[in-house]
Amino acid sequence: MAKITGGCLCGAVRYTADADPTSATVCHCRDCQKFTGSAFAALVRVPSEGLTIEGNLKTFSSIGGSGNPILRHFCPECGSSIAEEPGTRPGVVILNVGTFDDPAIAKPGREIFRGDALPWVHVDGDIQRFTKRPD
Amino acid sequence: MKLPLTGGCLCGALRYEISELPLMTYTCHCIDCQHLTGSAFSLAITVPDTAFRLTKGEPRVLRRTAESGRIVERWLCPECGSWIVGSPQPDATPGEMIRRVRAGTLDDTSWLRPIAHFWARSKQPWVVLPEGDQIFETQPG
Repeated sequence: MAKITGGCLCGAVRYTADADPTSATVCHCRDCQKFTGSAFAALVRVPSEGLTIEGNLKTFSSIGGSGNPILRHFCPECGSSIAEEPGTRPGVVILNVGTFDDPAIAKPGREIFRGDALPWVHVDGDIQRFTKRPD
Repeated sequence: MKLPLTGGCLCGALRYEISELPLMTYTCHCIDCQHLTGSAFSLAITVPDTAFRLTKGEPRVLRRTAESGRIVERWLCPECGSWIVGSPQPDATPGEMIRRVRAGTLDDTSWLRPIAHFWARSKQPWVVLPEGDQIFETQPG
């Protein structure tokens, strides 16, 4: 499995993880739009075992677009959106692709909450696309 | 789209209102924007500074020199980390000040349609930009 390294914009938070970055998820839900301030979040799931985070994260807990609780971690110094932990999936951490040292290693394998997507946003590739979350 | 436009951070600690139509909608694909958003690009509207009003909360202000060399100040929510807006900056029109609002934080994002895309040289290959839009490799001066 590939080694991913990354961190926040100001460098206060750094991480390494074992993951397959070629199955990224693009999430268009309104919470991801608000948290990123952008059109969608680009996410890669990694096992929490094998994930090492250096530096302090601040955490905001809310109910995610799926209706389930989700912890959202960001750098308190620069605000970079770094990772999420879905309450429904213990042992899984979701990394925000934009914080990878090389975001280009990530390739989306699916889009979720396409129903909330801005109509001009087009994610390339023959990938799975879900109006809401996958069943 | 209805005026005033309203928006805020994810947790609701910061709220804002915009009383005039945006001047422009654009995306920025620079590495800083990818890191800060955690996404593939940032999405912004520019509005006259006089039209922007913070209606709730106290932002954390982050100061940084951008890839373009400009010094930018970003207003973040200290509670949930959402980046909502920048400090007022000079517009291309002398004497006018504008703000760049992070468009994903608007309560209604459905009408947003960017006309320009900056720093396309660091764009992620899977993001397909609409045909006919203005695409800049970096940022016009």
